Amino acid sequence: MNMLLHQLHYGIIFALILLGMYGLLLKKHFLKKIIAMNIRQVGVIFLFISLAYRKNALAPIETPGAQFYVNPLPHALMLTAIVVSLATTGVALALMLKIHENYGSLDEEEILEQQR
Amino acid sequence: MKHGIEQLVPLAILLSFIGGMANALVFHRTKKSVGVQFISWVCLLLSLTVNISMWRYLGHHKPLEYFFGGWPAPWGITFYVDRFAVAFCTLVSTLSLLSWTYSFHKQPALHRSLFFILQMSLYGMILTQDFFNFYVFLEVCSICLYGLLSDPNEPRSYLSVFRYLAVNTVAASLYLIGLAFVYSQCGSLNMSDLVSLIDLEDLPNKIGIGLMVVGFSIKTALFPLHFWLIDTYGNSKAQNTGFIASIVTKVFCIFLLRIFYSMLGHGEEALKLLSYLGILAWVSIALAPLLASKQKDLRKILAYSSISQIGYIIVGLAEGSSLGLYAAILQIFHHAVVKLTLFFVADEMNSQWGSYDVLHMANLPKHSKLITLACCMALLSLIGIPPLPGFFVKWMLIQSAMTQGHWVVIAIIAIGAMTSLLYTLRMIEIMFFPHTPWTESSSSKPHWNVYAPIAVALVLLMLQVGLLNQLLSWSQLTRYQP
Amino acid sequence: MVTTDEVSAVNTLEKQHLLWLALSCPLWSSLGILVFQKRANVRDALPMIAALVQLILFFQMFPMINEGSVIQAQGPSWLNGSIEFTLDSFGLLFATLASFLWLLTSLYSVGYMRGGQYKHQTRFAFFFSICIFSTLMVALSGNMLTLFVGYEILTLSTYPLVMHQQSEAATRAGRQYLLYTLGAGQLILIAMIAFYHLFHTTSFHPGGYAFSMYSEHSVALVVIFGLFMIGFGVKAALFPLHSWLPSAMIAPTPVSALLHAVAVVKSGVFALCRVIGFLYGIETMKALHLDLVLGFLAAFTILFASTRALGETQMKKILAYSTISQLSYILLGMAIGTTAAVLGAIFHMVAHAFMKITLFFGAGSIQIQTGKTDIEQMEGLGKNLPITFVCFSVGCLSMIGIPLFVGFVSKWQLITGSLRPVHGGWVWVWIASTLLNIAYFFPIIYKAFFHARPSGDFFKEGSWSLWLPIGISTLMVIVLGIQPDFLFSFYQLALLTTGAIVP
Repeated sequence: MNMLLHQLHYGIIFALILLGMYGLLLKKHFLKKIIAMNIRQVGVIFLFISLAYRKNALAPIETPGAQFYVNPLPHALMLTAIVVSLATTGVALALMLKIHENYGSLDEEEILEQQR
Repeated sequence: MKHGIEQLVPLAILLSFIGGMANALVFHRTKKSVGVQFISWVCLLLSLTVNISMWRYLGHHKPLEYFFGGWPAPWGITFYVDRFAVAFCTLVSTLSLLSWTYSFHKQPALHRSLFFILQMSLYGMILTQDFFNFYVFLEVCSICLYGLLSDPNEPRSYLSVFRYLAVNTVAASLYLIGLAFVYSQCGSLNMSDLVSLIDLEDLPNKIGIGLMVVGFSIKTALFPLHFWLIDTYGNSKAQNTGFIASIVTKVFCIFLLRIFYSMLGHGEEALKLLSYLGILAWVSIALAPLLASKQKDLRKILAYSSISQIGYIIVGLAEGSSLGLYAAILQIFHHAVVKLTLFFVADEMNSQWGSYDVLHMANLPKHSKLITLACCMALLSLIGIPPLPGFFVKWMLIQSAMTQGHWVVIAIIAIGAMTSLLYTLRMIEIMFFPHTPWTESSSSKPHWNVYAPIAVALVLLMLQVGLLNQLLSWSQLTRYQP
Repeated sequence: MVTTDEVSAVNTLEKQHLLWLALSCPLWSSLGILVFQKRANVRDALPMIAALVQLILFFQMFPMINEGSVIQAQGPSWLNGSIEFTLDSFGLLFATLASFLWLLTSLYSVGYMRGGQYKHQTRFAFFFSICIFSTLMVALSGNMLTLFVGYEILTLSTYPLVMHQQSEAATRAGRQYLLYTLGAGQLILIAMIAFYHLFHTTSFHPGGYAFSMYSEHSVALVVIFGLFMIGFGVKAALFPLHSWLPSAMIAPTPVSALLHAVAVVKSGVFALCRVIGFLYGIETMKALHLDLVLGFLAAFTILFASTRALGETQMKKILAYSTISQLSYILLGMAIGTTAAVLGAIFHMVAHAFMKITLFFGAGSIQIQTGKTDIEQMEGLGKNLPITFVCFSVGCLSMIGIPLFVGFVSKWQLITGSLRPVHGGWVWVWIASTLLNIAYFFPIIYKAFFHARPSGDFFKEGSWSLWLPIGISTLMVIVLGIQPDFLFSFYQLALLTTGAIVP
C-alpha cells in the first residue's frame, strides 16, 4: 500500500499524458486539441521533474549543511521543454487562426464537409 | 586544442543561424535586400566548405569531439564528428545549396529565414550526442517545417499542417517519455556515455528505446503512420517540399542508425526492436507504390514514393548486417538526390503550367531536355535499373537478406520493385508517349537557377555509385571512438 | 630482348583496347545520331559505319579466340560486384552475329522508315543503337552482374521502340513488354545473388561450378535454376511467358526483325545458355534432372507455338509464333546436352537469326510496298515482287529444314544429337515441328506464286535499301547452308563453345 502511494504520482502523470493524447488526436475542435496538447506536455514535464526528486533533498542551490540536493539536470531540461512547448503552442494557435480565417469554423468535421 | 580544428564543428550551425537571422531581419521589406542575399550565399557556401574540409581532415585523423562551454560529457552538450556524420552534413549543405539556388528568388523572406534555421537544426540533429539536445533541435526543425509547409495560397495546407503538428508533437513526446525511462535507469543523456551504461535486458531501458522507436516510426512515416506525410506534401509548395522530403525524414533514419549501431552496438535485443520496425517497412515498400499509382497530383505520387523508399532505409537498418547498413546509407544519399530532383521537376511544372497535375509531364520533353533527362534518370534509379545507385541498394539488401536467410525481405523487395514500376512507368509514359491527344502548352525557357541545381543533382546521382567503395571504410566509423 | 610472354601481354592489352572500342561503337553511333539529328543522311549513315567498324574489330579478335584464349577487360568494381568483360568463342559468336545483322538492319530501316514516312526517326535510330550496345554488353559480359546490367538496359531501350507508333495498341504492348521483362529482371537479380551466395562468384566459367557441390545444395540449386529459367525465359519466350512477343510485333518491322528475332529474344536464350553451360554445367543440370524440366517446357513451347502459328493469318504474328518455337529449339538442344545437340543449338542461334531476319525483312517490304499484312491477301504477289518473294521463300524453306540452306545444318545436328538411345523421345518433337513448319509456311509460298492475282492493283519492288539487305541475308542463308564457316567462322565458334562446355 505504501509503495503504491509512492508510485501514485506516476499514475497521475500517465493519466495526464494519455488524456492529452486522446484529446489531441480524437477531439474535433481545434482549440480543444491545443489544450490537450498542453495537458500532455505538462504530463511529460511532471514525469521528468518527478524523476529528479529525492527524499529529504533540497533545491540544488548551495546551502550550508545540506546533505542532498535534487538532481538539477531534469529541471534544466524541462525549462527548455517548457520553452519548446510554448513555441509549439504559439504556432498551433497561429495556424488555428489561419484556419478560422479561411474556413470560418474551428470544427474539423465541419471543415472537412466544406472541402467536399 | 592541438590544431584548433574542432572549433570548426559548430561553425556550420552558427553560419546557418546567421543566415536565418539575416533573412529574418528584412522580413517586412518587399524589395530584396542585396546585402542579406549576399550574406545568405556566403553562409551556404562557407558551411559547404567547412563540411568538405572537415571531411578531408577526418580522412586521416581521429573523430573530433566538441564540448559546448567546455563542459564534458555527462553535464554539458557534446558534438561528435566522425567521417560518417560529416558525410551527412555535407549532404545537407549540398542539398540546401541546390535548393536555395533553385528557390531563393521566389521565397518570401520569412520562408528563407526558416529555411536556414531548418538547416541549422538538421546539422544539430546529425552532430549532437545529447539525447535532449536532439529533442530541442527536433522541435526547432518541426516548427520550421510548420512554417515552410503552410502556403498562404492554399488554405488546405493549414489544415494539413495542423494535423502534422498534432502527430508530430505526439511523436516528440513519445520520444521524450522514452528518454525519461532511459534517463531514470542510466542517469545520462549522452550517447557515448550510454554505450557502456545502457543494458537492454532491463525492462525500463527496453520500454524507453521502444517508445523512441515508435516516435521515430511516426516521424519517418512508416506505413500505418504515414497519413500525415501525404497531406502535408500534397498541399504545400514543391519548392519547399523538395528539400524537406529529401533530407528531413532521412535525418531521423540517421539518428535511428546512431542509436542502434553506434550506441547499442549490434546487440540481439536491439536488433529485435529494429526488426519490428522492419516489418512496418515491408508494408510500406510493397503497398505505398500501389497507392502512388492511383494519384493525379505529382506531389502526392512523390509523397507515396517517399514512404516506400524510406522503407528501404529501415529494412536495411533492420537487417543488422554491414551490407544492410551500407544499403541503408546508400539509400539515404540516393533517395535524397532523387527526391530533390523530382520535386524540382514538380515545382517547375507548377510554375510553367499552373498545377501539379501529373499530365503536365507530357510537356516536359519539349520544355527542356535536361530536366527530362534528369527526371528520367531519377525515376529509373527509383525502380533500380542497373548502373544507377538505386540498383545497388537493392543488390546489397538482397545479398544481406540472403546471407541471413530473410526470405521475406527478398520477396518484399521484388514485390516493391514491381509495384514501383506502376507509377514510374506511368510517368515515363506520360512524358514520352502521351496517348491521349495532349494539347501542348506554351512555356517560357527556365532560368539558370532552374537548370543549374537539376544538372548538379543529375551529376550527383550518377556519381553516387562511387560511394560504394567509400562505404566499406565507414562501417567501422559508425561506432563511437571517444 | 622481348620475350614471348611480354609480346602476348602487349597483345592482350592491345586486344583489350580493341574490345572496349568495339563495345563502345554503338554508343558513339548513338551520340552521333543526337548530334546530327537535323541531317538525315549523316544520321542514318552513322549506325552503318559503326557496325562496320565493330565487325572489323571482331574479325581482328577471331584468331586469338580460335587459339582457345579469351580476352578479358576489367571495368569498375564495387563492394562485391564488378563489371567484367570476357570475349570467348560464345560471346564472339553472338557479338559478330549482332553486329552483322545490325549493319543489314540499319540499311533496311533507312528504306523502311523513310518509305513508311514514320515520325520520330531520330529517337528510333538513337534507341536502336543503344539496344545494340546493350546486346553487345550481354554478349561480352564476363559475369552475371555485367550480363544483368546489359539485359536491363536492353529492356529499357527496346521499350520506346515497341511503343514507337504511340497508338493505343502500341502503348499496351509496350506496357506489357516492360512489365514482363522488368518483373522477370527481379527474379534474375535474386537468382544471381543467391548463386553468388553459394559459390562466391558469378563469373562465367566453361563447364560451370556447381558439379562438385550439387548434392549438398540440390534444393537451392534447383530453385535458383528455376528463377533463372523464369527470368530469362520471358525474353526467350518460354511457354507461359511468351505472350508479350506476338503483341510486341506492333513495332516497326526493323525493330521486330533485329530485336525480336535476334537481339532481345536471343539475349534471353544466350543468357540461359550461359547459365546452363557456364554457371551450372551440363552435368549438374542432368544430375539435378533440370534437363527434363527445361526439355519438356521447351518441347511443349515448340509444339504449342507452331500450332498457334497455324491458326494465325497475320504475317507478323505467324513469324512471331515461329520465333517462339525456334527459340525453344535452342533451349531443347541445350537440355538434351549431347555434343551434337549443343552444337546444333548454338549454331541454331546463327541459323535462326539469318532465316528470321530474311523473313521479317520480306514481310516488312511487302507491307511497305503493298500495305498487305494478311496471308490471304498475298495471292499472286510473287509476280509483282519477285525478289522479295523469292527471298521470303528461301527463308521459309530453310526454316523447314531443306538441305543446302542454313536451317538444315543446325536441324541435322539437333536431330543426330537426340538420336542417342537415352534421348530417343525428343526426335519426335523435331519431326512434328518440321511438319508443322511446312503446314504454316507453305500456304504463303503457294498463294504468292501459284494463285492468280486479283485484277486491279499492281505493285513494284521498293528502293534498293529495301531489297539489298534481304538479298544479302538470303545469300547468307544459302551460303552458310553450304559452307557454314563462311566469312565469320560461325561453325568454328560453335564448335569451340561446344568443346568447352560439353563434358
